Amino acid sequence: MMFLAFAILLGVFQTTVMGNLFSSGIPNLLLVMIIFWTAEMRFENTWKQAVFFGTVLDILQLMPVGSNIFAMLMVAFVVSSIAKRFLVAHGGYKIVMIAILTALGTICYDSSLFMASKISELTSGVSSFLFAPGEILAKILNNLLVFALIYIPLKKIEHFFILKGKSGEFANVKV
Amino acid sequence: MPDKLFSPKLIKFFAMISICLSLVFLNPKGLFDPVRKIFFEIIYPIQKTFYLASKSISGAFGFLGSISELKLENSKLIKENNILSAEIAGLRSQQKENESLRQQLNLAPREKFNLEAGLVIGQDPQRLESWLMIDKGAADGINAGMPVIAYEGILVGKISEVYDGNSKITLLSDSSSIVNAVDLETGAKGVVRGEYGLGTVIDMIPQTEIISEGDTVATSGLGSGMPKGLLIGKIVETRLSDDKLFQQATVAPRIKYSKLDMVFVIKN
Repeated sequence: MMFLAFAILLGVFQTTVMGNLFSSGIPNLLLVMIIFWTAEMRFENTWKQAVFFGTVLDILQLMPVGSNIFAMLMVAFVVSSIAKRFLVAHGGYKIVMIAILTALGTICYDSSLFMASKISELTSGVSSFLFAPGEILAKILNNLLVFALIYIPLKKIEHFFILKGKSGEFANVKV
Repeated sequence: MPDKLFSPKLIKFFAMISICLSLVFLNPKGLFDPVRKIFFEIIYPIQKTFYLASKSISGAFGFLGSISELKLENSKLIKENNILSAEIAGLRSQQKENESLRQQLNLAPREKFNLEAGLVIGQDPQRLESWLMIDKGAADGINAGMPVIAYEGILVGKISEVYDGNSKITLLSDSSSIVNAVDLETGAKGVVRGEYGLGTVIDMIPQTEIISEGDTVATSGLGSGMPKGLLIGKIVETRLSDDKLFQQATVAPRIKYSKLDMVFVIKN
């Protein structure tokens, strides 16, 4: 319940504040968090958070419900698969690796949203997302900036919500 | 090895992906509208506070960023001021002519509408000028399809979704937006549609009609619920449509939709 409230608050922050602070390439705070957590703890432990964040974003961004959930799950899966192979082997370069994963995750997220938007367009006739290659670089850079800013708070949140959940609270969250 | 290829984790992942894509496919049928409605009711106070606070912060940062440019701009403005003072005399004589032209343009006066002012509390996070969210909804008599204007009768878009305390405005620049319009200088009629948030285009103008750059485009009043004479923008570029059957033109809006703080819904 506490994580749900946290996700909603973050979602509102993302959809209202970020758009006003950045004129282009608006970073996605929730995406950065999912990438970071998944790189550290793998898909099995973070898919629930991805679903929560995706649902909140779908509702707040007035996008077809499922679009952001799909994109978040895709990112979590891709990041987890890459992190499993490279993050352990290059432990000393963990932050650099997570930064690279943030960049890849951003591209994967936008591509997945675009794909979901095309599926939705089949029935609604309206495209809910425009894939703008020119904006991707700005989004990656801004996401990296956000990652740098929230790296330390993220570690604390991770301990509070996810590691704590392993022994109780979060493990019982129903999706 | 087939069993290794489809591990339980992979099966679970594909199952979740399939559910998501099915949801996306079903969504246009309004399956989640009630959930969305309740959600917006709950988060409305937070959403409004966050949006207004961040708007002021953004404005303050914009001001700080501009301080270094102020000195340069100041000297430039002094020069411009001198030139403009000289031009004022000439412009006064044109004032009367302008008033007459305004009447000819037949722009809709705000007084004749029953307007409901709405504060912008959210907008398209992709910044594609696709939609805005305002703090007025069904409780204030807002209905889907109602036109929305900014100051001076400039058309912004139409109400597309209504919740109890807030509504979504689909902006003119959204790809799903279509409005019947007229070139005020020549009387050529067409439809103005959005181009994925990248601007607006007036289309379906027969080749026999004349349109030129600089012409003013306003609503024609054809079609239901849209009053005549709401200003849309100015033509900046003309061309033939892809099938060469019609003329079309890029229309530059008079205002930047993403910068709007307050809009007015036309209720009558």
